[in-house]
Amino acid sequence: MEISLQNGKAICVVNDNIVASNVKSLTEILRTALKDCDDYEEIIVDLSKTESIDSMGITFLIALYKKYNTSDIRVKLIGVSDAMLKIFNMLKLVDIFDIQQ
Amino acid sequence: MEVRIIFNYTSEIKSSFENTDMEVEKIISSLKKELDMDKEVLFRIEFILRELINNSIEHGNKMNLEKKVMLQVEVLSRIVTIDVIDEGEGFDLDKVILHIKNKELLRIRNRGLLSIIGFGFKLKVNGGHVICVGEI
Repeated sequence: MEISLQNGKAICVVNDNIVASNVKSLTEILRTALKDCDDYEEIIVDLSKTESIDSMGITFLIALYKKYNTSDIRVKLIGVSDAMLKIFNMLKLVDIFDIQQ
Repeated sequence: MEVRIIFNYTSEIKSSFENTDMEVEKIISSLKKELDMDKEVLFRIEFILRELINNSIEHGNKMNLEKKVMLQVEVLSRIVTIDVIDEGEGFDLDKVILHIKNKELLRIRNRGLLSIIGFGFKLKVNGGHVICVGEI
């Protein structure tokens, strides 16, 4: 995962699948990177390089939303594939996340 | 009407999520190469495979690397059957589904089985043996 801060946005590019075997490390990378930053209004998770996600990967995204989405900070998903969007629709996650393809 | 087995894969997996990755990658790569399945179908099959295998590893075999998950994937014309057997005692599928349906949208876990059903696949559980069947 590559994380950069640009104009009040924390942009997280996930360069891998988000699955059971790596969610722990992704969580830790994100936590460490954002821990000392208080200068962002939006967290953008770029999933354009993510081909596969499993239910623990979805858990990772929801946990991220629950932790960081507040009245001052928004969490957004971008680069979502058609196949991934279908599952997000099915699970009604489109009602929670701001999603862009 | 002729029904042909056009894909058959069996494997024995030691219980770790890294092993799930290796097996699933092998299967999806074979399905892509041998059956030329489209991206969305492969995505769904991969999601289902990961869910079933990981559930067996986590809940059936309690993450015990010495315990195995037996896996068979078969494609007959447009029907995909996934058989997963672990060394656990199994679970009551109806109770689990009912329990999940009563939970909030932002719940942290328990989305996998509902997703499989949402994809139009059927599940049957007999002890530590889960059979998942659906049309692609």
